[in-house]
Amino acid sequence: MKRHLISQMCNEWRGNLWMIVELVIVSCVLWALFSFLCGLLHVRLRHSGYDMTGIYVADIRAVGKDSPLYQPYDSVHSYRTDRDMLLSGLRGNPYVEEAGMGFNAMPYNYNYMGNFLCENDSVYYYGNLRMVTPEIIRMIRLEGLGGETTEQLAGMIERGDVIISGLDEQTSSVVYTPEYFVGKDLRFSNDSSRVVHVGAVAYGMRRTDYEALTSGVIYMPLSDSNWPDQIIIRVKPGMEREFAESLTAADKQHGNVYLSGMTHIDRMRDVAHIDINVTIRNFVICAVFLLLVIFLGFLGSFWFRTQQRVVEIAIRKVNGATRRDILRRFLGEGMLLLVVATVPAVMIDYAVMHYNLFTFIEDLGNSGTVVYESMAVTFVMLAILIVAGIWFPACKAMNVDPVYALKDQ
Amino acid sequence: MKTKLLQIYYDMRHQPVIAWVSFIATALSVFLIMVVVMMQQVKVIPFAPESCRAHLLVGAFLHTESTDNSNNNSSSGMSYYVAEKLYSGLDGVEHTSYFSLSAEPSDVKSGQNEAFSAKSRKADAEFFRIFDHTLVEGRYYTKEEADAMMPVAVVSESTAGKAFGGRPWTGRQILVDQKPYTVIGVVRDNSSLATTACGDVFLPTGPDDKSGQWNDYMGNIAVALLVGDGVDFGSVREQVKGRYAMFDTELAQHNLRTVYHESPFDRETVAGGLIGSNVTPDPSAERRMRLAVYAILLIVPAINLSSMLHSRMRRRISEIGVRRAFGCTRRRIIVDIVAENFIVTLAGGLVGVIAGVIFAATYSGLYENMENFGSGDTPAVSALLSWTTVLIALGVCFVLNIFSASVPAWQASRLNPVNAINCK
Repeated sequence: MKRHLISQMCNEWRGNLWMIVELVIVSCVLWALFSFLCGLLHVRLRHSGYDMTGIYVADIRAVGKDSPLYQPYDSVHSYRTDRDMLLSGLRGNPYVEEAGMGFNAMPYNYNYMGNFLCENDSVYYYGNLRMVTPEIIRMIRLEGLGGETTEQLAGMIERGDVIISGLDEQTSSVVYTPEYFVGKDLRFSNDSSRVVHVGAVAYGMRRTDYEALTSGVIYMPLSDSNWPDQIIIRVKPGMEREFAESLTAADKQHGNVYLSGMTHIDRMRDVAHIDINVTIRNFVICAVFLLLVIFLGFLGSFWFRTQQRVVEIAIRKVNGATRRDILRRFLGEGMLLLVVATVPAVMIDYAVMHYNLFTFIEDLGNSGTVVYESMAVTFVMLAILIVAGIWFPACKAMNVDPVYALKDQ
Repeated sequence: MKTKLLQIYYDMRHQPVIAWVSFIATALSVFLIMVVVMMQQVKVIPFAPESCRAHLLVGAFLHTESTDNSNNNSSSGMSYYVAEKLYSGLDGVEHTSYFSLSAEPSDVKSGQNEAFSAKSRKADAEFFRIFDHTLVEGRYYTKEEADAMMPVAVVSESTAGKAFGGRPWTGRQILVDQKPYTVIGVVRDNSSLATTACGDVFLPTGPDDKSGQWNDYMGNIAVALLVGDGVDFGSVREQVKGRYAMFDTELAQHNLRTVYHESPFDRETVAGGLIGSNVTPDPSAERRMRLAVYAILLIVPAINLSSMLHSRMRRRISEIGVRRAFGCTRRRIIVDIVAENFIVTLAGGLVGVIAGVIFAATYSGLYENMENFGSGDTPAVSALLSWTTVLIALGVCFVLNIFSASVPAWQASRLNPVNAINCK
């Protein structure tokens, strides 16, 4: 039976060759698309080690002395006291769980404030500088990589230690692991007058959920000399709407300091992810289009083949073939074409990987499993669409009545 | 022509499934290609307020690194001082404008009204000579007003309406981020798809503006250069490169030097995304990717269509045999099959183009990015439908037709008349 199937397919080699060529191209393209998508999924599903639910972020701004709204200060009050009053007002809001200040402290912002800690001229830890207050560590429930609790990490920030992050992968430029620096006193930014103590290694805050951490994150205490750029608020669970409705103009301004653009973290996430989401959407549309083309191709070709092979099908039925046998034969033809096409497609995929033609696959910092997973996904998707494309012509073939089909013979 | 149309009609009647599948595949393919083309076109074709795109160069960012072993590596926008040093008075440049590269959300308030968020952009007076923001009331600010950073503002129609309600709008005061400005001009609302020039509120900036300056060299200033007719962009870049070299002598005292990233950038490069202040943008990579997408969207359906056309030809073997027996040349057979297929491809292509234009003109998600997130802006149909679009659509149909029809037509023409009549 199988040998007959192969012989029959060899007889129709011209039409089948077209389909194999088409399948090889589509299979390679789909593999590249799925590698990208699977890679993103891997990064996205990684445990982040912090929790951003119920967070609101607002920019802290100050009324300048050139504004008619500026209220002159006496010797006791200043921008700083206004800022602190604004913060304590927010903490008093019944729907607020915690509020704190930071500089570059939140994700979903592409700013990279790179800086480094060094033990000597050749031993460095490089990372994105995030200046935080202990409240922020508590708000985002930051987890330590060595089992430190959020409270322990917040305590470290409170006493002036810095916390550094682990890395998703050890690149060639990283000679010393983050753990090496724990408990050491390091120079900040090569400034020998600024020595900081590294308290622990924690999870790193990425700029987006799709970013792999190939360099570190430095959580540094926000000192009095640093003016924060944002106030961060964590709302009690399920109280987002109530909090937003409870905010009045007075909550957003105290003296010469005011809050601008109070935004829910989900909105910030949507904005930060828009480019990658658009890319994902375009890739998905492209994949759907290619699968649809394959579906239409198989539908059209097998529709024609059933018309051409009515007599053959009738003879098979007369000789005892069941409807299921006919269906199996047509599906077998499609699957055999896919298997034959998969061999050169996989070879091309390996060549693409070997010569690193699609840098994005490597850029994502993926493990090797992604490319194999995407090969499997590609095969399964094509198989499903081929079965769908062949199903209708095969059903038509199953319904052939031998009496009518053979009346001319 | 009539014979060909009849032939297509009978073919569709006798093989409706294959004919319709071919038609849908063609329409779908042309639709997708046209959407990709139009998405790219919106980024580069000129439309107000960026009607100057063909002559526009944008100078952005400064990247410095240390010349000693201090590992100092900084990159950001420029300060006004650096922008002037690198880009002022270049040969072949008609107008030079200093402005903030992105329009930032600001709190806008007037009188007792509730504050609302609007996109504000700092710009000098030359900005309005390069970008055609059409005035509906009042005037633009002058160079003197901009240099002195007078508290005047030019706002968009909808911002003025939101702030004040009815006209007149000019001469009234608004607070932008708590600072008072007098509205002296109102311009037509502009699309956020004009990423370099869009904005709701335009505020004056000048050499002494320290508000967007991080240090002596870094800030948020970018430069728009309107290059004269026939001036090569490369020559402008060469001049800027020379300025960078001169600027390095000044930076040497701080043990720093610049890293040049091919600025100023043309529209295609800006449209591809200026991905970072420390990265040299690579528009050719973007172009290669686009070409690969076009190729895949063309080749895969073409193979499919070719396969189906091959099947349809097998139904017409005896017809071809008879024609060959009556003296029809092989060339004529090929031309007829390709022409018939071209008519079907054109019809499918027309449906694809119409669907593509409707989709591109109504679905704002195609153009969304971080700068215009949630704006819902789409281009006007007039911007999408140009001679270029029509030519591209025709070209796509032609290529699709040649790819899909040439091999089956050639095979059909090679048939032996005797075997063909016997349907062998």
